[in-house]
Amino acid sequence: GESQAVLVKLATVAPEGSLWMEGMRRGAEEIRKRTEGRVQIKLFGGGVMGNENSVLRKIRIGQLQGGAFTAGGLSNVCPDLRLYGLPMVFHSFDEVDHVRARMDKVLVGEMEKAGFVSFGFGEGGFALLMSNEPVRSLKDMKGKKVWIPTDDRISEVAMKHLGLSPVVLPITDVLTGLQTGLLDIVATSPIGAISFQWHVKTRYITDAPLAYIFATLVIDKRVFDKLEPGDQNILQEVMTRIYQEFDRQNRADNQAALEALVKQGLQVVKPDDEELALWRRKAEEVNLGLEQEGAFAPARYRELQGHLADFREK
Amino acid sequence: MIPAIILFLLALLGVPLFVIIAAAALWGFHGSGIDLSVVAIEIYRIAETPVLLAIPLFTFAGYLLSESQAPQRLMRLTQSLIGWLPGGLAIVSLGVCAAFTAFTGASGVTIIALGAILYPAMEEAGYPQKFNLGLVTTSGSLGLLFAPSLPLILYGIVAQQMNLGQPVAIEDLFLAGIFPGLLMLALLSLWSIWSNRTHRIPLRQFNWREVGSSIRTAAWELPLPIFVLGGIYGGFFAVSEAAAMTALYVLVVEVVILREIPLRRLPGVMRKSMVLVGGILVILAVSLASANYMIDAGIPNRLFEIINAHVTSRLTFLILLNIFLLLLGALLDIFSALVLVVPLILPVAVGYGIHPVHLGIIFLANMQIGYLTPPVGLNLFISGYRFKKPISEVYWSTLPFFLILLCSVLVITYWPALSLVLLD
Amino acid sequence: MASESTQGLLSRLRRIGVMIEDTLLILFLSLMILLACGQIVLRNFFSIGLVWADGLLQISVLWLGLLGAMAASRDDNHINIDVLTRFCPEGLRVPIRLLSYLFTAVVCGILAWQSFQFVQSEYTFGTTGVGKYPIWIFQSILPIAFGLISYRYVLNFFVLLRGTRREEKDNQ
Ligand code: NA
Ligand code: NA
Repeated sequence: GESQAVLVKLATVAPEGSLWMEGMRRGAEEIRKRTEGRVQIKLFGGGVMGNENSVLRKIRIGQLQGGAFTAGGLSNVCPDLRLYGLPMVFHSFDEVDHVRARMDKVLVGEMEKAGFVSFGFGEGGFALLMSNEPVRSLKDMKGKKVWIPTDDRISEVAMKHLGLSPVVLPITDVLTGLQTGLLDIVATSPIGAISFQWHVKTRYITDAPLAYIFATLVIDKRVFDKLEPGDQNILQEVMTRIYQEFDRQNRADNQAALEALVKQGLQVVKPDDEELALWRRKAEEVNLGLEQEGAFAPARYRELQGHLADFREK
Repeated sequence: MIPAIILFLLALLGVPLFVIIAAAALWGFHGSGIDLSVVAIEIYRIAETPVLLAIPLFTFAGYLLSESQAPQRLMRLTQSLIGWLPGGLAIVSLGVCAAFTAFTGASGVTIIALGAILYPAMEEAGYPQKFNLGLVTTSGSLGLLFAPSLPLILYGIVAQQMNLGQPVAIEDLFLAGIFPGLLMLALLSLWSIWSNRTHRIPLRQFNWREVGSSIRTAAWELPLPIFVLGGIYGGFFAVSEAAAMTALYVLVVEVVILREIPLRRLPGVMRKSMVLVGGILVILAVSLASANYMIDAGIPNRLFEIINAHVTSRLTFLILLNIFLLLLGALLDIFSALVLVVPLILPVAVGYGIHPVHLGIIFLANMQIGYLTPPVGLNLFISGYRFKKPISEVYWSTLPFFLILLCSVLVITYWPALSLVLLD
Repeated sequence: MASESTQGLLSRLRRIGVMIEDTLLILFLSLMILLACGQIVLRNFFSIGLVWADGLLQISVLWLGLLGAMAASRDDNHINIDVLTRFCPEGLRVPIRLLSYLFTAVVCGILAWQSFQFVQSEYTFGTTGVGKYPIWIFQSILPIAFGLISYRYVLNFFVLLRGTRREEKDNQ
């Protein structure tokens, strides 16, 4: 009937009590008030609904109506989400901003085709190398044990192409692995480093953006379509606003986290321009290889490169 | 309510536990109007949980050792070293189990892998069988407070992300766990000495020659811990890979070098140990589903709200916290409980002036004995299954150990300095 | 007689089933040890990391667990609590066990059916895993295992039922 409330259950790996959850809670409350209780949002934090594959399965059977996903988590259903996260496509946050202003809409459209309504993207920052010996060049990484997570296709291809030997371990093994010397090098964003406390066991951080990390909040389109248009607008407006706030806030937080890492004694090193150019060339070869595998639509990759070329010309 | 009572009765009448838990989950999801294939999705999470890999591997290694002459050799060695100390073997067993659990987590694998060796060894040394059963069952979750236990690390990660204003360093948790963990070990050791005071296990004279010869007979088993710890701290493999190396080492020693288990008997041992693993994993699998039903229905939150409504002071908070966590330890696995409940209780605890690191130790200490709380502590079932004892016997044997651990949990809870003294 | 030839067929099926089950258990455990240790050797001596190995190892935990659970069902050797039956009068024990077998068969039947739907949905959505293979292949053990456990408990039920009938006849 008309007065029937729609329950929207959303899952995320962000822990309860985190800024993300607190922001989402406020949004849920606002939506409940403004739709006069017709849309009720229930949040499950901390990954209690399982990993992203499990959450996706649970959306299909209707236990959940949506969730926050990283690009990797949704790339099976929407391959083009891989684009922003490809190795070294972006050189700076300015480039990110330029491209995202033009392409976020495109990716949101792709997700809609895959059956998900997305409310935009939340930045997670750039993944940076953290290590016990300074890493300024590819040579510095040769023979070192570099961690990559289980079943991460992009990292795997990249490592193979660079001739490096990855150590594949679950994330729970990383901290002790860094301590015992099982791992020499890991990559994560400054925020990630602090929350996993990897900075305690590393000494150097390489200031070269390896890959752009981001997440998106999606709701099952079948559920969204059932809402009255007015309620759809409210949901869309509030969620989009919250995600834009996260997006901005996270950039500041990552900057602050990097400063905190430096204050705690981590030393920032940087590859020189020539070396950086080499890394980027290698990365592009990796990306072309992934394109041939069908990891994303070639046309979209060209589109992204086109925007980047425009920006770099200016 | 009525389905719950029926299921409870069916459980007492001997229906397999995994069937009871699965039925409860199916019934719960059915009531919530959720597609029942969610139960299959949850069961499949067994294949998405890396820590479970250790269960089959350690179980197999433990089975191999128990089928060889290793228990007798190790018993002879400990007797020659500490046979002069009353309760000596029991104390050593407690220490070894605690160390093992610190590395493997508390999934019951300690009971299966080490219990299989210690249980017969202690019986041979003359300890009463009821005592042995209680000790081995208890030791399955002992050591959760010692580094590098995964739940300690996970608590640190969860607490770190909560913007408490004070950092919760994993290193601090490692330090904070030392004395509370030692307290548990010390009290259990005292109990071992006291409860065996009337059974006159003949004390032995210390004899260097006997020590030397017993070391020589155990020359292949003794290097195992050094091999594994050396491998981990030498950076050759990860904590999660220790199980595989242990299995390989034991296989090579008992089958190839000592040949106490002939090759033709190996398939039989493999099969037997994996049937045991199946019995346990299928319970863990359906528990994921039942826990997910409870999470979906928001039961832990409601339980916490009820309890929180009665909190008036720091003291009532701590008392109710203990009750809440004991209940929870029986309902949820430790990892779900961590991510689900720590965010609920931590802000309240900090509000009452409880140090977040201290709360972590309280939390894990409670969860640890949640594995032993009758009627539904998982370790009780695993132990009964492994040693083929009726569950009521396991309850009675474990009770004194459980009460001692309960005392230490109270001490840990109400004496913060015990946890915090090593921190700056 | 027809029923006897059916029984012969059933017992032959049972023997073949048991053999397959045991072989698979042993194979999976060996594979698990080899793969897990092989990974360590490859990493330390040849600087090679296998990206798919962890996924395959975790799948084998699932397979081992379910195959083991199937084997445990053969002679109703599952973890249970069983504190009331001890105090039950002799005459009630068989009916209680019959009830227990039947209940187990029904619940496992439901689990098998739901698992089948889960696998079917994964097939439809073409999810991949362990490298690039369709994941439903690895998941297919779920409906098979619960289906066979259910079947075993139906057998247990009828064996016990027939056993008691025969006993009653003998007593008369
Ligand atoms: Na769970
Ligand atoms: Na559980």
